[in-house]
Amino acid sequence: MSMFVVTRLGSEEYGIEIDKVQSIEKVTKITRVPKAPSFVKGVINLRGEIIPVISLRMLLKLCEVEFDDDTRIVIIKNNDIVIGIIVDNANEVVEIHDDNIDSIDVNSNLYKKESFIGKIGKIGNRILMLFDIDKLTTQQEVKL
Amino acid sequence: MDTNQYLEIFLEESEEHIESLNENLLQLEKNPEDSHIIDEIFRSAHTLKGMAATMGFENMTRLTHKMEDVLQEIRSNSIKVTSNLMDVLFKCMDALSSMTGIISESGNDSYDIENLIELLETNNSKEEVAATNIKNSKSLDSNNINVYEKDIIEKAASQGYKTYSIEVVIDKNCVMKSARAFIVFNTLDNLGDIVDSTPSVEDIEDEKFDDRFTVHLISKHEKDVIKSKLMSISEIKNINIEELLYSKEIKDNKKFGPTNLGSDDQIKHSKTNKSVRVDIERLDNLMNLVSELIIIKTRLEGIESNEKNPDTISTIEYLERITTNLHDAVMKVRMVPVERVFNRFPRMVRDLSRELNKKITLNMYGQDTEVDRTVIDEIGDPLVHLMRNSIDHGIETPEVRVKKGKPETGVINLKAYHEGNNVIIEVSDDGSGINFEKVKNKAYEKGMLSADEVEELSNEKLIKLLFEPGFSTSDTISDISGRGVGLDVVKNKIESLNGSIEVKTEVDKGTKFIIKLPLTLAIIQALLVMVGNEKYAFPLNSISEIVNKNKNEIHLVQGKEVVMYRGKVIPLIRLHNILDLKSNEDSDNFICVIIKKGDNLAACSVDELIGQQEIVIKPLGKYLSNVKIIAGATILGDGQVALIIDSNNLF
Repeated sequence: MSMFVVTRLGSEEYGIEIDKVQSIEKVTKITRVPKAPSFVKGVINLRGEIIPVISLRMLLKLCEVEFDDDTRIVIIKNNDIVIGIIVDNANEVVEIHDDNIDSIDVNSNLYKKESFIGKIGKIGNRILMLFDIDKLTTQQEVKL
Repeated sequence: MDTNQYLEIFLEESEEHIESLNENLLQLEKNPEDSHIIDEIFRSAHTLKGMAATMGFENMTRLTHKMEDVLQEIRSNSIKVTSNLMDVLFKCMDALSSMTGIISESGNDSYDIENLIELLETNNSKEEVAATNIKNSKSLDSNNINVYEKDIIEKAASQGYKTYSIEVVIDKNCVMKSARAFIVFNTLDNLGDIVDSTPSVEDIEDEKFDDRFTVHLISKHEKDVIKSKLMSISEIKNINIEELLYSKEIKDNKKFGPTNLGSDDQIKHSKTNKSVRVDIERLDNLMNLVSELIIIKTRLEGIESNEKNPDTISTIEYLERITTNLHDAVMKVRMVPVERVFNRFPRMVRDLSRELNKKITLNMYGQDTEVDRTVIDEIGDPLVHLMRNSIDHGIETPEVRVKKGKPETGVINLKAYHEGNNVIIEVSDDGSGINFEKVKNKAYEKGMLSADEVEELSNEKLIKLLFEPGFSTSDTISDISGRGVGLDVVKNKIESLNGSIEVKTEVDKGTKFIIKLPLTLAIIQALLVMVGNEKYAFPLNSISEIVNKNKNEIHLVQGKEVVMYRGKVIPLIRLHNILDLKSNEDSDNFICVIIKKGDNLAACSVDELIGQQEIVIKPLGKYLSNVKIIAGATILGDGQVALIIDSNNLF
């Protein structure tokens, strides 16, 4: 049994392991960081700590949308790296039995090579894409 | 027993012991006859052995045990302190510190010690003699009785009491040794009077003993009775009871008693300075909170300027005083003496001078100068490098020195002192100085400059060349230095700490490197500016001046924009471009912040000046560590984030 925070980007649902989630925040003022990769929206002041925020939509090459009341920043902590990811909403926690978690078929043309998805979870007829947190928290295509 | 929870304490304490051993060994080499130093070394080694055995690190226990054997022989004067022997002992120290390193990483002490043990054994050919000596010293220890006690014992004896020396050995796995010891003391109190204990009762209460302690008891009971009572206490491993026959033995040992006690007292004094160990993370946390307080104070000050209520004003002023004091106090807690960095050098100088057959004395001044921990962690490597340079290139071999009419032994001075808000560290030697001819030739050889250019260079410019990447004047590459990856790295490191480095040199008189570093890296004075509609901060110590420039003062040199500043042509950096912002070039006048990097200057165009402020530097985090032009971020009074520009990486 594992627990996941369900986040939504449009109609797609993504799951983040609950022990990696430090908190879920409403969008605050984001300070742009020049020369950072484009998907890094900037940094925020989270109770005295400076945390980089990335746009999940840009990272996954989806079209960007305006922030609204549901938009959330999910603060993820993996080892000593803390980042915030912007999602359309995050208001559900689900439990998925290990039997219902499949690893993805890397050869299938369903998934992109540079994917941040590690596994697929199934709850009834819902499909949850589970993030590979290690991949998500290491900078990928950073070039200055 | 699960020893994991003690591992951290063990590592910390072993490091301390290894450090003090190193120090004392160096002392011993200078004064081979000083029995106090040997005792101190012996004690440290013994404690280390005890701790390692408790934690189950066998290699470490074996090594320290063998070291103890050798030390014992030195102590009993059956072998002499030679530099070869010292080399072996120092190697053992290296092995021990590597072992603690391995232990902290992997939790075991797998380290090849066979060579060292062999070396120690060849030095320790008279093991039997040593063994008997241990016995002798033991009986001497147990009879450390002062005149006052002797008096009591004599009186007791005349009334039919017996005096026993009881050695209590507590099980090594015992978790609360002091509690056990307390039970032992209680039991003994019921049987008679305790007149003395080694170590002292206070130390036993503080668990400052290995696994055994000795008490002197005056009692009417027989040996066996006392023994059986004591053995009924759990976790007591062994009890040795000897009856003290006062008249003869005490007289024999009277002359040893007081002197030994005297030295013990001294050591106890140095150990009982009142301090607590605090996890660095907790300190950082405290520092964070203080930083928050400063931010909120700045915010209050902003509100205050709009309000005219005298009460509010005076309250805020009071708050300001308190936060400033609090900040100072916390900063002081985070301060550590530079000794932490300096104390590795005596050993390094010793080893290197032996290796190079040079004679060098190292003088250190101002070891107690305090610097913020963040700075201390960073200056170690650059200093090691400068020291190596001085030893290798600076100080000449004794023959050369004699020829030059200098004393055979070279001198290296390492000095630290405060100057305003900076700490200065000087490394100077009385060696050959920088050979400018050599520098010129090297510059020419490396194709950095043409022959004519080289000839015209001033000495100052030549010194600058030394800090260029890939420059080394040493003819031969040695293990120690001269690979040409040197001074530029030192310079970069120091500049990244917002410091500066200066060189003074005179042929055959010596060279002096002067490093200037800020006291802390956590809180700095900064200039806040607007670029576009974003706020940025410049560290104040990287700014040399702020000037107004007009559009038509911009010139082009090879397609790059430059401006004149005090008769110098300096590059103009348009911050808009660098920060990926749209520029508003319609205005004719613009503000230039003149920033400096060493002796180089550049002008940065900004839109607006906000003002000077004390800011708290916060890191951007690992995820954004690739963004070079931003040194960090700070939180402004209104909770907004402003980025700090790393002017060293701007040009």
